[in-house]
Amino acid sequence: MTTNNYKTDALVIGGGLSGAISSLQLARAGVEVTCLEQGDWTTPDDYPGDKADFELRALKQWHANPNVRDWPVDYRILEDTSDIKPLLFNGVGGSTILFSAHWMRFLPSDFRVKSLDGVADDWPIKYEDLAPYYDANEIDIGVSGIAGDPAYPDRPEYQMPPLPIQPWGEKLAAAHSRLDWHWWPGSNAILSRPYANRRPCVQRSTCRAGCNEGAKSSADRSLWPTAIQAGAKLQTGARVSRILTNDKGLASGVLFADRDGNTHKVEAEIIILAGHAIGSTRLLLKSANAQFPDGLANSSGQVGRNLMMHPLARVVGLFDEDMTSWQGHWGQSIYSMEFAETRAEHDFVRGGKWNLAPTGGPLTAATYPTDGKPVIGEDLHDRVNNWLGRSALWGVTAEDLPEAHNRLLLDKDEFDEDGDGLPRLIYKTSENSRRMLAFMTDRVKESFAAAGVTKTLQQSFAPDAGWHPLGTCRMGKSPDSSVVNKWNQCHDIANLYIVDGSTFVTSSSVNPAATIAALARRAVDKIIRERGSSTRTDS
Amino acid sequence: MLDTKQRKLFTELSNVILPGNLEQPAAQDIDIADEPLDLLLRSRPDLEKNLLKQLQNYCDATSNDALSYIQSLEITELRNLILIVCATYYMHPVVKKNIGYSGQQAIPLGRGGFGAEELVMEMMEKPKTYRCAD
Repeated sequence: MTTNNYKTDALVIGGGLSGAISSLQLARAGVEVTCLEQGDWTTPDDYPGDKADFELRALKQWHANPNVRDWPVDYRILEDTSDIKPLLFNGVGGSTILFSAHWMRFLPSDFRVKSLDGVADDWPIKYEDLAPYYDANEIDIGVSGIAGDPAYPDRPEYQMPPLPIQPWGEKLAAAHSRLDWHWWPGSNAILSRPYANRRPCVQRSTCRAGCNEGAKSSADRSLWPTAIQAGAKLQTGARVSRILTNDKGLASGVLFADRDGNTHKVEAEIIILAGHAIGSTRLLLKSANAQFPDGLANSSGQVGRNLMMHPLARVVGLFDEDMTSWQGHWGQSIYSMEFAETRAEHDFVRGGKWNLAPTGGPLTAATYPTDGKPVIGEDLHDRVNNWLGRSALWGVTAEDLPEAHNRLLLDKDEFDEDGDGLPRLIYKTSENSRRMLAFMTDRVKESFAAAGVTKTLQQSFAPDAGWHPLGTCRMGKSPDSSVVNKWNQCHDIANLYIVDGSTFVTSSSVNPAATIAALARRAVDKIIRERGSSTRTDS
Repeated sequence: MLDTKQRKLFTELSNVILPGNLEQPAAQDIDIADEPLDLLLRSRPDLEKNLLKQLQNYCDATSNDALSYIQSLEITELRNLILIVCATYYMHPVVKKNIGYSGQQAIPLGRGGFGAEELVMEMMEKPKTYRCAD
């Protein structure tokens, strides 16, 4: 039984980064907008970073894998058929609550993979189409960094200078300069100066379990207060179970359950899906009806396909000197795009992005998963002594290319509370990605060696690092082979937009948050310009 | 809550994973199976079930030798046991002091530079490396 039905002009599903950007822009334009978020607000006091048992609770109660965290709001994701486990957060701010805040733009070549390298597909948009939206979002969000990176086109200066790159960052920066390899101070959605009534970073290095200072520009701190002030309505504890359609083939509204399990119906002229690649795809498939038997927006059969997960490797370099390397932002101190572009001499196409991070406290030192069997006894003491305070971590993200067999689908045997199949990830890491990671880890060891490091520990493949599920509702020109057009508008349902990472055509090697946010802002600008029209502008 | 026998078994396993040396106390030296373990389980009650299972398996093992038991563990079981022992051990104030770990501290940013500014200037002078897409 449904109760408390209501109407709104625009309905946003998901209160994470792209949902917040969408709601903010719509509210600023005077559009009546409501966002439904299944989770709740968190506060800086909730986060474990300033508690003595931080490392321990970060591995359970604040783990980024919802299957591990297992909060009541988390839905189970079947991951045993995936090489990489998904990481995300369900709540106001979405995964930005737990993300490491690396704020990276795509390279221009990322949008032209087919044309330049003969693989995958080109995007129907270019870097220049997104650049103004990257710029505008950064003002709202607050990003620290420095312009002038030769790996990128020119861009405006950041809102504030980079965070300290730390002693280990200086050592690796000097090493890369000697090697004539690219490096650049990290750009992070973390404040290095007071900004917009928020305090700057205190280098506690607990970013991945929530920021106790509010210095990390998670969407709940950076965007939602402004959006709500502008008139956006945010309803938490609202778990959407269905997107409804009408006899014209348009989206007409949604059904959602509140915290007490009561079902409500909201009608809207425009529906914007911002539920993360997994959540949005799941909802489209759950919403199958007689008119759309294979799920909404799925006439191409592409909803759920082309799942990309950004395979990751990690190498820890052990230095001789104490640098207190458990402190510092757990964003990126520096990054390197030296091997981000395709090179003829490589046995793989595309490339990887490196980011340098601190290395945590003693529990991290003792238990961080590296290749080989875990050590005990004196070897364990040695590992902690050599790691704690004396190390740095290069993370290497491989650009993942879309493959139709990597996908998300609804399981046939295990079901959610609505009686629909649970989301199942089917993902096999490609040979291209494997070769790329092997090459990159060898180069990372050269990087550390040039910095004076004599011993490294590595995790050649990190199954626990699925921060970036992407591509399951791909963007494209043709309704036959893609789900949304270049405006993130569904080919099949003109008043339904998808504005999260599911719409990525290819994954780039960089962190996707900035591009997700830019796509959302661009899509909403189009909606605002054409408000009232339900006619597609292209496809 | 663990009983006396279970605590004794936990101490035996912990001593193999973290024995004492000139710098560090052995697990038993900090009474790891008493208040430190209770503290751990208050933070992570979810770990108790796995711990009790491990202790029962150890108790049931034909060899009552802790090292042999640990060496026989599958890698996932071993990682789980090491996590419990290390979390208990490294949260202890004596151990933290010995290893020089002050916890994750709030250290306000200074107003100095971000570091390696001269190298950044050199990097800025380099030719652009991104590929033109058109």
